[in-house]
Amino acid sequence: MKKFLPRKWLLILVISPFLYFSGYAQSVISGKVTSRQDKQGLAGVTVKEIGTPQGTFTDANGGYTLTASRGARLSFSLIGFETQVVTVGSGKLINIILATQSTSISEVVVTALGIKRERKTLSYSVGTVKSEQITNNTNAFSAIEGKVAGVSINSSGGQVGASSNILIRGTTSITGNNQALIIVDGVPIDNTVNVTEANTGGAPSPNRAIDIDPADIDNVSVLKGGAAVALYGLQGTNGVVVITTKKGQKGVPKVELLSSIAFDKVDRLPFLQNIYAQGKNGKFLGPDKGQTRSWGPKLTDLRYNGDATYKYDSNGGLVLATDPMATVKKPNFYNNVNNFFQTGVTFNNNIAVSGGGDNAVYRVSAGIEKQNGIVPTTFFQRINLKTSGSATVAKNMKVDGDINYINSTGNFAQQGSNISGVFLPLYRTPINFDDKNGTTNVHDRRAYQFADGSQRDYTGGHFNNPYFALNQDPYISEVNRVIGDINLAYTPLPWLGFNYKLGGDIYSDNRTQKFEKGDVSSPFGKIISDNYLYKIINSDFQINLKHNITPDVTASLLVGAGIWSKSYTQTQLTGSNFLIPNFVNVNNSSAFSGFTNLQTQHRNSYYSILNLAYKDQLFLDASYRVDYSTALNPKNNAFTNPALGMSWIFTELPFLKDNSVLSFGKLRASFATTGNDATPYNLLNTFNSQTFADGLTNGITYPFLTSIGGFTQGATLGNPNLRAEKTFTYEFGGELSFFKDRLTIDATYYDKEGTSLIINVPLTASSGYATQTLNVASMSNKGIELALNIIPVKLDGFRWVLGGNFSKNVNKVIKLGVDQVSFGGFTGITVAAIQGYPNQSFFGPTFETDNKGNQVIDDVKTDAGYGYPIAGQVSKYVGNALPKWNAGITNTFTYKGIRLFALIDIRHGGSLWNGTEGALISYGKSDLTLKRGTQTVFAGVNGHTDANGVVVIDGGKNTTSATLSEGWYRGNGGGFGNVASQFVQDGGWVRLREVNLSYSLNKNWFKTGPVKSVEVGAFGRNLWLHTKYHGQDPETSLQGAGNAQGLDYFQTPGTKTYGLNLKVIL
Amino acid sequence: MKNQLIYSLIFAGTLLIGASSCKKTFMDPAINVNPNSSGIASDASLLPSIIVPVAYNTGGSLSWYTSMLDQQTVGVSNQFSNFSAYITSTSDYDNIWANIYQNCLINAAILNKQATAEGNLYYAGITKVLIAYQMGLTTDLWGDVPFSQAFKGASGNTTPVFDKQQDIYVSLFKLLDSAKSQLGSAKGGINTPTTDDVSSYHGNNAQWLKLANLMTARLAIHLSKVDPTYAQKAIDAIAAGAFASNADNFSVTFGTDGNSNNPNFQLGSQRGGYFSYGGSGTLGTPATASNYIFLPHQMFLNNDPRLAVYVTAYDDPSASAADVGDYFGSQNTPAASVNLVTYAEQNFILAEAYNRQGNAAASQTAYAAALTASFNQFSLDATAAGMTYINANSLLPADPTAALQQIMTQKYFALYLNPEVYTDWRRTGYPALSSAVAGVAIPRRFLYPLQEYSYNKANVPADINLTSRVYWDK
Repeated sequence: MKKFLPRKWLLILVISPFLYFSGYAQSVISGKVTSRQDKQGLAGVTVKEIGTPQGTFTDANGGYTLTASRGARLSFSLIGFETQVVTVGSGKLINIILATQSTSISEVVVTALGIKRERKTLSYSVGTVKSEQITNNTNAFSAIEGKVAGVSINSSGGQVGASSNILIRGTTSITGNNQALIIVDGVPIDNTVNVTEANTGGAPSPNRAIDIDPADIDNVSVLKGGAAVALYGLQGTNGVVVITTKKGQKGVPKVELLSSIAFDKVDRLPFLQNIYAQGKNGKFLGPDKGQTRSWGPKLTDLRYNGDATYKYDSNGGLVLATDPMATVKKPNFYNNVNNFFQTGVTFNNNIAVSGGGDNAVYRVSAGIEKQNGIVPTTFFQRINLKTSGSATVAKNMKVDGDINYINSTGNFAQQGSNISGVFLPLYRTPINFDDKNGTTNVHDRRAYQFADGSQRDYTGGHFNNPYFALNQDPYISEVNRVIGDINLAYTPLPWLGFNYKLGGDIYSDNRTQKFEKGDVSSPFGKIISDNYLYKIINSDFQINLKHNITPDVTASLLVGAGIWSKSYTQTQLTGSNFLIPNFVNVNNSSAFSGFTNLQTQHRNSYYSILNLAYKDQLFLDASYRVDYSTALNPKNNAFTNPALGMSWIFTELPFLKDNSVLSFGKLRASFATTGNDATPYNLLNTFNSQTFADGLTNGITYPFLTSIGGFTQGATLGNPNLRAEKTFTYEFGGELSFFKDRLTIDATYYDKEGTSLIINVPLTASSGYATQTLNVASMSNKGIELALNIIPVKLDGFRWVLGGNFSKNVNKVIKLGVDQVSFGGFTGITVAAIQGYPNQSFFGPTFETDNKGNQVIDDVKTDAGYGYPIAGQVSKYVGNALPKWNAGITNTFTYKGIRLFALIDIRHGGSLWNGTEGALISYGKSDLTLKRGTQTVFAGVNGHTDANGVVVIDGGKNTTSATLSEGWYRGNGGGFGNVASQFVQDGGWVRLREVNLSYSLNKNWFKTGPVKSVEVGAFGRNLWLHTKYHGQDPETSLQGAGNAQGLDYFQTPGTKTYGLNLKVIL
Repeated sequence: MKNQLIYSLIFAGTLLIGASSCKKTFMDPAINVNPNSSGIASDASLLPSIIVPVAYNTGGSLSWYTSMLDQQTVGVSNQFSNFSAYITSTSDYDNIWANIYQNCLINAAILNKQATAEGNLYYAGITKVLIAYQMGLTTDLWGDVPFSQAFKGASGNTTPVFDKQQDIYVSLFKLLDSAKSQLGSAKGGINTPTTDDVSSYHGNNAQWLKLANLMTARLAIHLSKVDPTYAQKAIDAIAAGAFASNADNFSVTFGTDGNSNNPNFQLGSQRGGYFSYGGSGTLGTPATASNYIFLPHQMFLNNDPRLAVYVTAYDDPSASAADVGDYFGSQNTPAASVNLVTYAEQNFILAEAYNRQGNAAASQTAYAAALTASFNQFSLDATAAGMTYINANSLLPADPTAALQQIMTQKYFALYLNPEVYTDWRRTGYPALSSAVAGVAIPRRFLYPLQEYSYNKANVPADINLTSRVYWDK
């Protein structure tokens, strides 16, 4: 070694803390360190002579050379493996086989940039989910739900391909992105929810992490705090989900077959009344009258009139039983909602072949999943082809890579606030009208079309028949995607390594939304062709250095540089006014409009992380990253992320070591500053060709008179000084393990405060602009996370593991600079940031109250609203969509080959605006309207509005009784009145999220054949749900993933799933 | 080992050099230039974005809100019925304010500066006339408003001061003088407007010059009450070369395609039932119904044939008394024009100016021309009913006050749905309107919008209410 020392000095100049002196040699010992599990050489094993400063590391193939004298004791240690100590004897070749460690404390977890670390050395909390907990889910996110403290995942509904919102430790940004970053094998992938129509209506879209096949996932690490994510710079501040896919292992080829079938059933539905028929003021008005509401007489008071020519119902029209036209035939009760849903069926097959030799390993897999939804005609299909491999291509040089091709297609049904959608008309359908018209096949035109081709619906053309929407207005999305990476690792010296990684995520998302002629919102027909092309390229170059500074202090340093680029193109073309019927095609259109939307953003970064370890006791991490973003002013486009963390395993202290009660104890603390980038194109003012509207009418869209273009100054004033959003986090925590891991506790407290958060601040129009993008807001998140693992029973062959996690996050918008910033919603209610309240709060008009919060009841006899609560004039904070706390309880029982796993998922608090119920009340469909016609005394105090519009409280408890009339329900008592806030309800739940039962068949049965093992299983999801929410499953979101959470307005209800699976290894 | 170290350095060096050499192009600031919108806008792409909003504002919101106050129309439901009952708050004006300043005049401020710098004089001149037109209406409705410091958000002033109305008038006269010299020059610069001038002038600078003179007269006559010398200024401006017939009228014609429809047509189809042009009850009967409207009843009593043009259903025998005149006739078509300044208005201005100078003969001549011009505008001057009406109303009384009343009342009938008549009523008190709400005075102005109180409070004039008078309304 001495002979190349001078050259080494060249590097030592650069890396002075890594001064390395070789010892005084007695004899040269060499050998190879391999893993017991896969017999592969282990690189980076620390080889130390105990009691001396001497030491080295193994090379890429596990080889090492060291000078030591006879009798010296050498230790071989590597994270994740049991340390071995051997005494040097007479031989000069010492080969070592290391076994993996099995305790959770020394578990190896994947941290930022894919760096593998022993959990015990970390100064921050990391959540992990293993592959066996991930299968049986279409969306990898759903698999994490309830399993990791600090992670809040909300599925947007029960439709196939529904998006999931993933928040880690609350919301970090106000109007910016709050979704966690998704990394697959070191490559940041796109997780956007692409939208074609307004996301309050239209077909729902998946978040694009759905393209990852859960069957290919080996493990998931969730990096939560600032220090954990600081190495990701401007993209990681919302937390990072690091997905590592399965890799091949040395050995004879192994074939793994996974197959499952699952059945989805619709779960909770809105609560509907089944007594009153269509009409108004108690009078029956049938579908031919265009009355959309169910304020008619009781269905039982009606009789068919026997009119065979009546086109809406083969039994004839309905009249009162007392009517001279009435026959004796009682009307059918049509349960349109229950008749609508089908049993969804999902087939999932994945086959993987893996194996390898000394120099190369591979894994090739193919998966197909076809999911037919509970909504007829809807489906989601994903085909995955994946190859990964790793090869030692030259001495000390290893290349590995993955390539994953995905084809995802789906047909999704329009929902939400959309008269062309499915659920808005379906839930409002009166019980006297059969949406299906007696048909059984969902494609039967007689349900939704009359003989003359016009649409058959109960509203006289106000809403689509749901079956028209399904058959005539399909929405097809097809994604073709490639995610790949290649990694080149060169380890010329045991203490020096270079790594270069290039990865990319490229996909197209081609969507077509059709509206056949006769659709209620596009009566002349329309087709939207919407095409997205995304491209993310990420490249990282890293230098790794390791050194034993003293016998007790080891150091490793990583310095790196990276570039990241993201671009996308959206091209949308809308053709309308079809010339020929039944030909829904752009070529059939007589009017066109369209636009393109391009976006490009680049980031360039430099980073380093230093890890110091003192004995096995004290660990220090210090990292620093600088990001340069093109979205910021070139003169001021650098953003720095420093982070510092320490952890102390106090059970290494002599008087605590080898304690049989407290087997492990650790304290940790970390501090970090992280950032969230600005979105591109906010620096300069630009001119747009757009619409001139006046707030009352649609106004003018250029080109005026079809040919005269007009450009107008953009409404948002650019901000050349825009900076990235900055968040400072500190985190304290500890881990305790008792009775050799029979009881482990992990607790974390964190406090993160975001400053210079970006919002669009309104300006007065006389400045020439409507808003300006400014770094003005600040917001805090404080919280605790607890994870508990107990092994109450551990007998021979039987094991019961009880796990629990709890997380509470308190969010507060500290400063906003404006009254409120709305993210979305309706005119009555919006989801908004309001200063002094948690983010994602509901903002809307309430009933007028006195200063004690009592409703004010109108006490003026001559008022139309006498005896009823008075609607308030101004909008207020009326609740919050963020949960107060989340918890998950898992139970795992294993007995020989049998494994039973159950997860109870609890969400406490977190409100939803039940707009579905509000609307159904107005329509006389909600079960709450069964009280129609009865008298009630509204609780509250007496008062009224004076001539100046000022509310006067007269005091005294209201004793006036008022009628729960149609007028009340259609007015302020319902969803279309002035008081939207009354429908903000507790959206908390307790649910049996997952149950899995699996059985590994006795291996002795397969001794002779090619089959090595067989596992069969049964699983269920969402089998039981308890909630106070008066509506469908509160795990829902009208606007999908994004900042406007907590809105329930006619989206697809949630599902229960039952399934069977089979795993065969050949 | 030696080789490995050399390889390492080459490996690292190559990557670092590669990284640093591509850094410049990789981090090129041009990447952050929005490809979806333009950093610049040509004169021809900005001009329609001024003319169309001016016409849409004038024929839409400004017309709807002023006509409810001057009783040419009435609001029937939602915010319009409240407005007709003088129940209004600052937030009701936010959209109108934004339409004027942020959707329209910001483009004019940019085009004026840009065209002047480029030497495209006709563009600059036309833009100045449009600014004078739109700012004139704005200050007439609100009094003191931002102007000298308005549209300066991009240069850092997002809270402009409110200028005194008399100062704004001085600025507008200067602006019009500058417009006249630019429009009157022999050459309009390298680029001159063509089809991008979507007004009735189609890029004809001589026509715009006539309008510039007439705009000076319009603004001057507004001041003639507080300063009588302005009557002569109005006369002089018209004498300098204004309209010669209805062929010179300034108007914008809308289109049948769904993106280009007339504002009244859009209001009728998108906000049906908000607004009534005819009111209810039997025409000509005294005001009893809550949505009685002064104008159609008076025109009915006067046997004015223009009423049939304004309100189609007024003589429709099948219309029930309750909804008589609910439909605004010729404007209730998608492609109808909005008349902004007419030959009739010019003659009414002259008649008023001479009246204020005591020149009864000149006033009479101008008045008769005004009446004829109005009927001619609707092709009614040669009809029997038209001639009957003109003959019956063409003579002014000898008493100057009575003469002024007749001039202003006939101007009120002639300028249907034009915000100018609300200004005239406030200046002169004619026609004699009585409040729609007992005990509450008819508002004499618009309130400042909520956004000014929210984001520019320090500059908003204090103590403003619906009856606070603007400068010329003393």
